[in-house]
Amino acid sequence: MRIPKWALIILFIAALVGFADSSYLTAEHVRGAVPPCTGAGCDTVLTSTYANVGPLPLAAFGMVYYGALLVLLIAYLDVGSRRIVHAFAWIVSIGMLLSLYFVVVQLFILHAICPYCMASAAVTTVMFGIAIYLVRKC
Amino acid sequence: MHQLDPALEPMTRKERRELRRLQRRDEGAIHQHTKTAKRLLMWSIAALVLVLVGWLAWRAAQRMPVAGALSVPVGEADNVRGPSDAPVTLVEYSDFQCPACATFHPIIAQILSEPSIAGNVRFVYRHFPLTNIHNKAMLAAQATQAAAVQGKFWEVHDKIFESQPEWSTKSVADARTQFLALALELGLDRERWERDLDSDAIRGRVEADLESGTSAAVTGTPSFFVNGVFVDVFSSTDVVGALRDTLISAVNANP
Repeated sequence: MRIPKWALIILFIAALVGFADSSYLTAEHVRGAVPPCTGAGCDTVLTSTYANVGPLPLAAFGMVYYGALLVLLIAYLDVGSRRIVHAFAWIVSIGMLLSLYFVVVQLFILHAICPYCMASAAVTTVMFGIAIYLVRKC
Repeated sequence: MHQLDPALEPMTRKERRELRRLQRRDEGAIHQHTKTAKRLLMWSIAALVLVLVGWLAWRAAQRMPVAGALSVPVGEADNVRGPSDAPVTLVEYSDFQCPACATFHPIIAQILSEPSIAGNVRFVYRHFPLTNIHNKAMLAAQATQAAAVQGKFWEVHDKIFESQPEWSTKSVADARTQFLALALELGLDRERWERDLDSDAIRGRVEADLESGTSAAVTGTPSFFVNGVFVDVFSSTDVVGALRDTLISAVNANP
């Protein structure tokens, strides 16, 4: 079964937004700056120990994650295999779990919210919802 | 079956079948070619879009200002501690309700009392209340400025930082009561302090600090400037050491 057009369009936009978001945060990290969101908790969140894995910022992993999802979407357009839909759903599920964890860290451990990070979690939630729908239907 | 001119029929049936097969294969190959071209195009466009989005994000990040230089020089209106003719000036943009700022409070006092630094550095406190996440930061800033009118800014500043764990979890009204008690304890004129606390002048004074910070691209607290230059202490693993070292080298550079 083919992925409906609306789902493909939403997934494409979501993955692109996620990619742009994490690219921006990675660029800021490379530059050694914190995005200007005065009043929000960008500084607290992005300079916390939770924001990095070793020397790499989480945003860099985000870039790889959203980049991989975009490649899978193109691959689906190319070969249209069900296995790609399943791979997509698996990756998004992992992203969803990690996003949930990061939201919990922001709300209950850091008590600060970084809008860029919440945007990423929202994007992943949308993709997760669609991916689950597709796996059930396809 | 149709009778054909023998001259035009050099092909046997087998040969004709072979010809048709070849023709079909050619058509297939052409079809295959356009398909490959399409796929190639699609992947190229995708790669291009990815690079473009990455590049745009990069550009967006580059355009954002980085805290670099103090935008408003230290002046008469500032809250200054230490010798007024000190060769080195440390400016801190801070928020009374920010936990990191409260942590820094005794650290700064300790650094400023070190033999090589004491007497050579004046310390300036500027308000940068992060009102979106700290609902009592503005009130606390106003409480200290209202005390400044009566010459007791630093006394109230110290007390408010020291008691941050108590009042930061209270309601705004209860925090206000605690600040009043604190002001009275320090011998401030109650009526005057209460009147000043909510006055436009005091509120404007705090907002002027906030604006000067924003125009110097301060995005968080605490943010430090040594002789007008932003010190990015948080990019260092030894935050306190980074601040101390910057101050010591500034003192050594300005004997």
